[in-house]
Amino acid sequence: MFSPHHRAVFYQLLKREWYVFKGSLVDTMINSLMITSFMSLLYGYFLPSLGIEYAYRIPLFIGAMLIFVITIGYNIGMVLAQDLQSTKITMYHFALPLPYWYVLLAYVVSTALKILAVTLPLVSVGLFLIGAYSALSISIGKLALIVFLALIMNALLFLCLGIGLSFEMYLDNIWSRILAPLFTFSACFYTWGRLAQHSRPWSMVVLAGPLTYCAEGLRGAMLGGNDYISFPICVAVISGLSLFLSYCASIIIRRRLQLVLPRKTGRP
Amino acid sequence: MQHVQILLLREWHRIRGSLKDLVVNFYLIWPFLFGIGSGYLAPLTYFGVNPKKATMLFVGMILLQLVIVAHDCAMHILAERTGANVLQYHVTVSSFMTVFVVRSLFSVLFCIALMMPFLPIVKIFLGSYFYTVHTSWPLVVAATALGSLLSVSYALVLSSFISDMTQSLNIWVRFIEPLMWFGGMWVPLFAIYKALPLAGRIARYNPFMYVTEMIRSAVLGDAIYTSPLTCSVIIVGTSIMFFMLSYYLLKKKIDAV
Repeated sequence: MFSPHHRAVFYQLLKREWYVFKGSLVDTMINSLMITSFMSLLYGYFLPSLGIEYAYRIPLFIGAMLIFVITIGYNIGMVLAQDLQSTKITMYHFALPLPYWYVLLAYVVSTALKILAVTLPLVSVGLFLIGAYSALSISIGKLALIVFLALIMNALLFLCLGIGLSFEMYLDNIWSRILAPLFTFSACFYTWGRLAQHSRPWSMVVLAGPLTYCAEGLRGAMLGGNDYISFPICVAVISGLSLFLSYCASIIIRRRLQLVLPRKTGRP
Repeated sequence: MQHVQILLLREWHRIRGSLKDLVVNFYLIWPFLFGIGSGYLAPLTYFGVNPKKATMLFVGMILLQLVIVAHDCAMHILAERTGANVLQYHVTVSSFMTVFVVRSLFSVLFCIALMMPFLPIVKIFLGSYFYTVHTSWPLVVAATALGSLLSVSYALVLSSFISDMTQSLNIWVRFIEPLMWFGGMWVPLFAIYKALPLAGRIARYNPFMYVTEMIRSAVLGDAIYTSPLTCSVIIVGTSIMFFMLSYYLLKKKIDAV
């Protein structure tokens, strides 16, 4: 299935994506580090001064860090949308003589790696700044699994959006009509358990937000305890959504890029 | 005067195509999402059922919206200056002063038009959970208008000293985000002081802090916030300074004779 030729092209695609990303890595890191410090101040100092329970700052901070995943994913999707309107390198990649899903896989892996490269150091710095290390009870296996799944799901989401939407639509409406609702109705800036204590109907609505499971899964893996949505549920939902998004991605790619390949070749 | 009219009309024609999207986004989607997310769900888990505290936390978010609209206006001017040279063409057929005044005026009016209904619409969505017992609506209108003035003038300064669109993301994160985070977008000045006095002292020098202080004062009517008169004087003074600076920088940048 993975012939040496296919593998070589796959690695070349990964290398190319990483090379392009490297050009903006320093700027991205500086920008993200600035926002991390602001978020640390907000969750570690300012909000507790308004009377928010001090221990609540850590789960809040962990959930809020998903904003980086979304912001970096948004930028990657924007590059894709812009490319499809101008240079069309993406079309060239999908027209390479190998099944399109190899290229899709390369795009997903590279997007996931880019998000990880930026967020991992930032989360570590942020947790240090809010003095959270002593409260952490990390399960490495669980954390690795949930991070992996969350990255794949978000990478697929932004590939679908970047390829599926026109550049104008992406720029003008994606925050207001897709990303902001995702955030608002997901337990990123609050924990699901606390919301359920105060408002049962809204907590049911928030269960429909995919980021809820990323945030709660991360909290569960990093803080332990039973205060968050059960870990197997988070894993199952994110895996299911990833499968659904990969199906959507395959349809969107074939429609938008109008692959002029025999149907059989286009399939795994 | 005729040039002013024509240039204003041209700006109107430019945005007319996206008017429907703008109205849906700014009069419906954003107030709903911000209202529910930052005005209801998050504060509910922070403070329990406490509409006054939830409103205090939420109203500062208007700053984010003001700055986004102002930034978009300024980036459009930048794109027209660095891309198709439309700005330079307009300067040639009228004068730099006319173009600058028209663009600034239009941006401020555009910002005011999009942001003025924000809090009233949130009130409709949140009902009694949006605490307006002591709200002075005329003061809210004044604060929104002054916030638009300051945001546009600052965005114009930023767009005047950068050379191309690729720098716009860095500009946003490095020159706008810090002013919003330390400008009372999330928490008011007294809470910053209480948490970190040094940060509070620094935040006092941030003109955007006075926009959120004025809006909080207008909505909640508490004496704990900086007085609206002081806020107004600081906002107007800083805006005039920013407009003068952007005028000078932009004139230099496009080499207007």
